[in-house]
Amino acid sequence: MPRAAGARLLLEVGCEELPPASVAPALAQLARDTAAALRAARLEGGEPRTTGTVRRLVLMVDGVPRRQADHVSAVRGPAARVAFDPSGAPTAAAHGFARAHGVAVEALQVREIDGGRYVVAEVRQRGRPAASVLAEVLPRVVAGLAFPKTMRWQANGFRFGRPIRWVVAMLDGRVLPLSIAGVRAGRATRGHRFLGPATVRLRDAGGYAAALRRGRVVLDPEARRTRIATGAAALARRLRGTPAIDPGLLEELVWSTEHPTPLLGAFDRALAEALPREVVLVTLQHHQKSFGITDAGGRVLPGFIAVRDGGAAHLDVVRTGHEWVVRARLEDARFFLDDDRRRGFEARARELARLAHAAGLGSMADHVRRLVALCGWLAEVARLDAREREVLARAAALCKVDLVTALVRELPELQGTVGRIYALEAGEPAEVAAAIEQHYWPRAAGGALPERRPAGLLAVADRALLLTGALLAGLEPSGSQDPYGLRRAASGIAAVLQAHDPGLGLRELFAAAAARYDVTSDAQARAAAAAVEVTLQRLRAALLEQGVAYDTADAVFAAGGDVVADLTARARALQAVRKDAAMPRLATGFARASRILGQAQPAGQLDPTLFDADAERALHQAWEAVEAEVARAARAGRYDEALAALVRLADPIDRFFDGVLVMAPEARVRANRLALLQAVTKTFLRVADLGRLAG
Amino acid sequence: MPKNPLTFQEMVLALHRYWSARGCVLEEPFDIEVGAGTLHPATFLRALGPSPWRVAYVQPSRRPADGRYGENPSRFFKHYQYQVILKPAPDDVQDLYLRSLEHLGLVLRHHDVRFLEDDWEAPTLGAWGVGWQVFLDGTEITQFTYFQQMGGLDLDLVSVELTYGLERLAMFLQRKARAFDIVWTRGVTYGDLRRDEERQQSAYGFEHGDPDRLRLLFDTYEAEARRLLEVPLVLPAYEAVLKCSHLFNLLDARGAVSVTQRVELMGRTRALARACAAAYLRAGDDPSTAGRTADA
Repeated sequence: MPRAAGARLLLEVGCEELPPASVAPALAQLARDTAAALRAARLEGGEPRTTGTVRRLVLMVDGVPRRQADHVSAVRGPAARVAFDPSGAPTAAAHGFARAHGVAVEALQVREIDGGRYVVAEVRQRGRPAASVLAEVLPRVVAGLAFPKTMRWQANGFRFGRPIRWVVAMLDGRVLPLSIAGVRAGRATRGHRFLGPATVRLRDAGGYAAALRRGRVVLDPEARRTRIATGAAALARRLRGTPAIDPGLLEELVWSTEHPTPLLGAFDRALAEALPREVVLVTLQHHQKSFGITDAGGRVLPGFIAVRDGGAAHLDVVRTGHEWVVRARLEDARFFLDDDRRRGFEARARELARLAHAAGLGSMADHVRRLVALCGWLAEVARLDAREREVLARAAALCKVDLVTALVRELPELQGTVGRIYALEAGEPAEVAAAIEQHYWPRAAGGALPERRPAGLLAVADRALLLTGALLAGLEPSGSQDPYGLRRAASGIAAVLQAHDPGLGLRELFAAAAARYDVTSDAQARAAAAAVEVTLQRLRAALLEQGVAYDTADAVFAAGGDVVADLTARARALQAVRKDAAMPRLATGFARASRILGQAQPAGQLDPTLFDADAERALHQAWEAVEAEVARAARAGRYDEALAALVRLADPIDRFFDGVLVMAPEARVRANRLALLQAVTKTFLRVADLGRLAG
Repeated sequence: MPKNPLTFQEMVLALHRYWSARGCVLEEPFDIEVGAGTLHPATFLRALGPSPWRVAYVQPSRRPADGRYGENPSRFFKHYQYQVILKPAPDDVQDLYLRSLEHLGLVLRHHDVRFLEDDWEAPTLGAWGVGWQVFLDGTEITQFTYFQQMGGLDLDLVSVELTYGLERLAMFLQRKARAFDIVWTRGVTYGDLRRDEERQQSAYGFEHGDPDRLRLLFDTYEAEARRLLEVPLVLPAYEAVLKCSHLFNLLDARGAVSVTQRVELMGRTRALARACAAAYLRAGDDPSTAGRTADA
C-alpha cells in the first residue's frame, strides 16, 4: 500500500441482527452519502466501498487525504469608491474590512460584481486534519441511513434499524475520535457470534479483511451467495435432484448469515408422496427457511437443504433438529389437508362472511358478490363465448374459498394454489381450477400472466374492486406507504390488460367496479377517476421498464386514450421508429402546427376551393390519403403501419411551412389554412402528441 | 445435546435461578385469563413510565382459537410462556439471553442459533415492538422484542421482553415430537396433566360457549372497567379489561364475531387498554399508589 497515496479509512458499525432486506440498501446509501460528505468536506480520495453482513455495515475508502484541501473564498466588501479615496489610497472602510478578514489591506482586490465594482478579500481557510473532520462527518452519515422501520433502544432516542453495539473507525492505524449512538469507536471488531473470538484488535485499517477471516466471518455477500447456492446444488445431487432455490429466500439467507453452511436433511418418502408439491416446497421455505429438492420431472424428493449460520462441526446435531421440525411441519400440513378435505370445498364459501377484506370493504363474501356481478358484466363487454362465461362465473364464485382453509391460513402464500388443488379434487373443470389459481397472477412484477381470458378478466375484476373500494374508503397510497398493495394491484391490472385486451377503457372498467359499492354516484366517479389515474401511472412505469423512452410514453399518453393494450401498442410502435431519419422533421412540423393552432381560430370546415398555393394543395392531398390509412391501421391496432403512413407527411409539411404564409391577411384563407393544419394534427394524435418528444 | 435433559419443571427452575441471579423479581403467573405473558400487569403496566424494572415469571396463556382437543402435536388452547422483562434493555442483552440457554445445558456452538427478524404488534393493546424470533436448529424457541409503544404511548425507557415458548424448548431439549410426551417430572408427562383440560376447553371454546352470554359478560366487564377508571382504580380496571380481552377471544373462537363486530370489539378493548395505560402513568408508575383515589 503506497502510503503517499493517502490514508485508508475503515468504518464498521456493529449491530444486533439487522432486518436482512434492509442491509443492502443501507450499504448502498452508506457509500453514496459518504462520497457526497467527503466531497463536501474537501476530503475526496478513492471511491467509497461498502460491504457487510446482518451484523455489520462496513465502509472502506482508500487514498483519503490526511488533511482537508485549503479553501479559498472571495469575500465581497464595500464598493470600490467607498474603499479607496480619489487618490487611490485605502480608506478606513478598506482597513476595517481587511482586518475583519485577516488579510493585508494591500492584498485587497477590486472586482466587477453584479455590474458594480467592489473590494474583494481572498480568504484562505487552512484545511483541518482529516481525522477530526471525519469524526464529525461519519456519525452524521450513519445517523442518516434510512431503514424501512426504525427503533429506539436507549434513552438518548437515537433511531436505527437495530441497536448499534460496537463501532470501529480508523484512519490507517489511528482510531478516529467519534461516537455513534453513544458507542465510542475503537479498534476492536468482533468475530462470528459462535465461531470466532469475541474480539479481534486491529493494528490498522488495512488489516480488517484478515481480522474478519480470523473471526470466521464471510464478509463478501457474493461469497456467501456462492457458498449457499453451489453448496445446495452439490448436496441435492446426492439425491439426484436439484434444489428449488427461491431467489427471495436465497437473498434473505445471504443477508441473515455471517458464515453460511448448507446441510442436507431428509424426511419420509410417504410425506413427499402424500402432499402436493407446492405444499412441501412452501412449508420448507416459509417455516424452515429451507430449500426443497425436486427431480428432473419436477417431483418433490424426500429431502431438503437448510442453511446453518456456522461451520461444519457438529452438523449432525443441527441436521437432527431440522429434520425433526420439518417432519412435524409436514405432518401438520397433512393434518390440515385432511381436515380441509373432510370439510369439503364449495361448502366453505359460507365462511367467507367471517373473513374481512381490506379495511372498510366489508367481508370477503361481500367482495365475492361484487366480483361475480362485475365478471358478469365483463363477460358481456369482452364477448366471451358460452364456455368461457361459465368458467369465469364459476371461478369468480370459488376463487376466494381457499382463504378459509386451514392450509392457506397456515401457508398464506399458497392462496390460489390451494384453491386450484382443492377445486380439482372437488371435481371442478381444469379451466376453472386454473382461473382460481391464476387470478392472483402476476404474483410479482414481470411474473407469469393468466393464461386464458376468463382468468385474465377475473384477475382484472378482483383488483379493480380492491382499488376502487380502497380509494372509496380513503386508503390511497402515499409516498412509500401502500399497506393494501394498491399500486401493485394497479400494476397487475395494467400487466394483464396488456396481454388480454377486452377492448375496454379503464374509465369504463373502474366506473363499473365503483358502481358495485353502495355510495353516492359522486363518490363512485371520484374513486373511478383516481383508479384510472393510478393505473395509467403504473402502466407508464411498466412501459419504461419495457424499454419505452420517457418522452415516447409522454407523447402517447398526452394524445389521450385509456385502453391499456392500445396505449401499449402506440408506445411500442412509436418507440420502434424513434430512430427513423424523418422523425425529427416530423416532430418539428407537428410542433409548429400545434403552436400556430394555439394562436388563432381555424375554420369549422375545411374548404379545398380556398387553397391557392401548390404546397397547400399538396399537403391536403397527401393528408387525405394518409388519414384514411392511419384510421384503418389504428382501428386494427397496427400502429407501425400508421406511423409509416404519417412519415410520408414529413415532406409535404416542410414544403407547406416553407412556401405558405399561414397567417394570411385574408381571414377566410387564414382560417382555412388553420383548418388544414388542425386536420393534420388530429391525424397525428390518433397515435401520439409528437410535440412531447425531446430533441 | 445434553445427555440427561432437564424435565419441564427443572427447566422452569433453571430459568428462575438464572434470571433471579440477574436481578429479576420472580413474579407468579397472573390469576386472570390472558392470551400472553405481555398482558400480565408486571409487563403491560410496568413497561410504562421511567422506573427501571426486572421481572421473570411463567404465564399460562390461553388462545381459544388454537385449541385442537389435544389432537395436534403443537397447538393448544393453553400453553406456557416464560416471560422476562429487562427495563431498561441492557447493552449485552443478547449475550445475557444466550447464556440462559447455556444454563439449560445447551452448548451453543454445537447448534444453529439465529435471530430472525420478527416485529411484534398487539393491536388490542395499542402496543408494538421490534425484534426477532430466536430459532434453535430450526425450532422457534423465543420471541425477543424491544418494546416501542404500549397502550398507544411512546415508552420513556425501552424494555426488552423475552418470551420463551416452554413447550417448544422442552420438546427440543427432550427430543419429543409431541408436547404431551414432554417429561414434566420423573414419571409424569405434560399430557398426564393437561390432556383432559385441552379436550374440555376446546369443546367449550368451539361448541359450548354461549355467544349471547359471552357478549353480555363482555359488556358487563367493559362497564365495570369504565366505572373503575372513573374512581380511579387502575389495577382493578385493568383486570376487567383483561376479562374483556379473553371474552373477545372466546367469542372469536366460537365463530360468533362478524367482520364488523370484530373491528368494533377490538376497538373497544383497545380504548380501555389505552385509558388504563394513561391513568397508570398519571398516578405515577408505582403500583402501590396507582390504585389510590385522587383525594386519598
